[in-house]
Amino acid sequence: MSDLPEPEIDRLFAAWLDRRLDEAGAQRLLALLDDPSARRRWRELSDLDGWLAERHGMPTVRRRWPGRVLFVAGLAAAAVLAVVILRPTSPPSIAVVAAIEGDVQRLYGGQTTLTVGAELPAGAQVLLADGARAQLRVGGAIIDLLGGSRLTLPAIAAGDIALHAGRIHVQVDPAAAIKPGVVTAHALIKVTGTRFTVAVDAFGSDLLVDEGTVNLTAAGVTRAVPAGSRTRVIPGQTALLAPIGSGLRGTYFAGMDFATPLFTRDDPTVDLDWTDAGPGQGAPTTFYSVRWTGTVTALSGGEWTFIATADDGVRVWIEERLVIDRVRIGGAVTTSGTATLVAGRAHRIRIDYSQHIQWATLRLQWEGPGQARCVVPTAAFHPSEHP
Amino acid sequence: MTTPVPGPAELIQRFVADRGHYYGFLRLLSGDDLVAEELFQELSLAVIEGVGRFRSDGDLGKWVRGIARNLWRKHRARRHRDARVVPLLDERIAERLTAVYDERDAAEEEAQVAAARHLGRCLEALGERQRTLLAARYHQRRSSQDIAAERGMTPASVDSTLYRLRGLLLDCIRRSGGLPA
Repeated sequence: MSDLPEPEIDRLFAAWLDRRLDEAGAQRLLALLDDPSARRRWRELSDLDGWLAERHGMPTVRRRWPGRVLFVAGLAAAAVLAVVILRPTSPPSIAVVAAIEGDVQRLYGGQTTLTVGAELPAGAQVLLADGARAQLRVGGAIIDLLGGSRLTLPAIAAGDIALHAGRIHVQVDPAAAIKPGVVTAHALIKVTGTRFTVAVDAFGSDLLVDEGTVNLTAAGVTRAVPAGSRTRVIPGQTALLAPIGSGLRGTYFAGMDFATPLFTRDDPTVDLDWTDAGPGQGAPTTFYSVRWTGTVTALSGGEWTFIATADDGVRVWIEERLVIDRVRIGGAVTTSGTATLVAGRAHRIRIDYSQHIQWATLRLQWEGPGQARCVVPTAAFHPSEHP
Repeated sequence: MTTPVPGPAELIQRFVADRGHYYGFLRLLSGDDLVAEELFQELSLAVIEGVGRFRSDGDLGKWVRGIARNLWRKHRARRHRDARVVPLLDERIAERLTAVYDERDAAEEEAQVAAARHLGRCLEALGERQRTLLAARYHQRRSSQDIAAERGMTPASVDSTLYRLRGLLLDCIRRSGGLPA
């Protein structure tokens, strides 16, 4: 900040926000705001305050409502009810609450706790505490909301639901006349009758299509996303990441030294037990090896742990770095190693597995930020190094 | 070469992506958590309903803040709220602040939206006690008096701690590349 002390504008901001600004302070604020850098600092502080107040990035916890707030909220709810009944221009009811578990608040006309059967007007916002669940019926869609979600209902029945944060699962009746779409900060999702899940975090939007096809628009580009695909949209990166979710490419070899290739196929996961029958397709049941290649993509960034349980040998590389190295003959042993993954980025992965005789098992699991230990899912793998 | 005209869905997307900015604006105008929350819902509805009337070559932020300001004025007229300083000065500050926000250009809007993406990590970098204080104030909407009573502090020290935390968060966001230096 040029010749203005930064703390002074910060102090005046806090005083104005907290209603502590006296007349002298107000005059000083008006004078300070003549400086462009002070004005910019003011806008930064104001936006930060707005994001914090909007609970962005904050852990979702069950709210504690002081008695006064409950009283005011009750009065506001009664007032809103009266207004809704009496005012001809009041927003029409657009959704109904079909199921609720935990603390679910409606944020319009005063905060109210929602119950089953409640009708929600156009434009109402719904906020779920951590661990809560709710189901809404909106037009021809059933929307399941998970804990921490916040959404705004559309203004008209045919409008789009705005998902601010959290995760919702949408099931659209293909026969329904009204099929709402979903708008996030990063993408617009339009459907004609399908089932899909949308999740929003601070860094992007995640779309998982269970059934049918949805049209996804991001950064001005529209693309059809088919069932079984998982797509993450991250602003600032390539507009849309290619759908992932088709597993890894496995090259099968006779012998344990990866020297005599037999065939190649795409495998959905690395979770196998070939003790009795071997890998099939004419491969031997003893003395063989498999090399899986492709990419692995995590939806959250940070340190991820890969855990391999193998009988016999296994090696795993992430981006050319050997993270698991256990080449030996013998019973199943679990080994783990860590790698730093960037959210939404496809990282090269290579897995070498070698089988001697008797039991033939391999399971590759992972755990990381927001993800409990599980077999690395098909959705996280892509058989090409350039998905 | 013509610039593609943004459709209603794209405009709503921009509003959602920048919602912290509008929320902050309403908080500063109203000076009351519950009123700001209520006005923000009304604003969301007004924007979603009225986006078809927005001139696509106009300034979206200015248009939305104009609606926000009208909502606040109507609210104030309904509630006959006390002025924050003195009525005329209040109005002068509100006018001045509106002009301050109207200076925000597309690059700054983009930077602020990017900054919001860094906020989660910067919150994680704070100490547990600091995070709890922010959650009490912003998430649970508790007053400085309530927080002070619970923590054995004075309301003034709660306010000054929050003031310092906002500065720390802005510094962190700037260091992590979320805001221009």
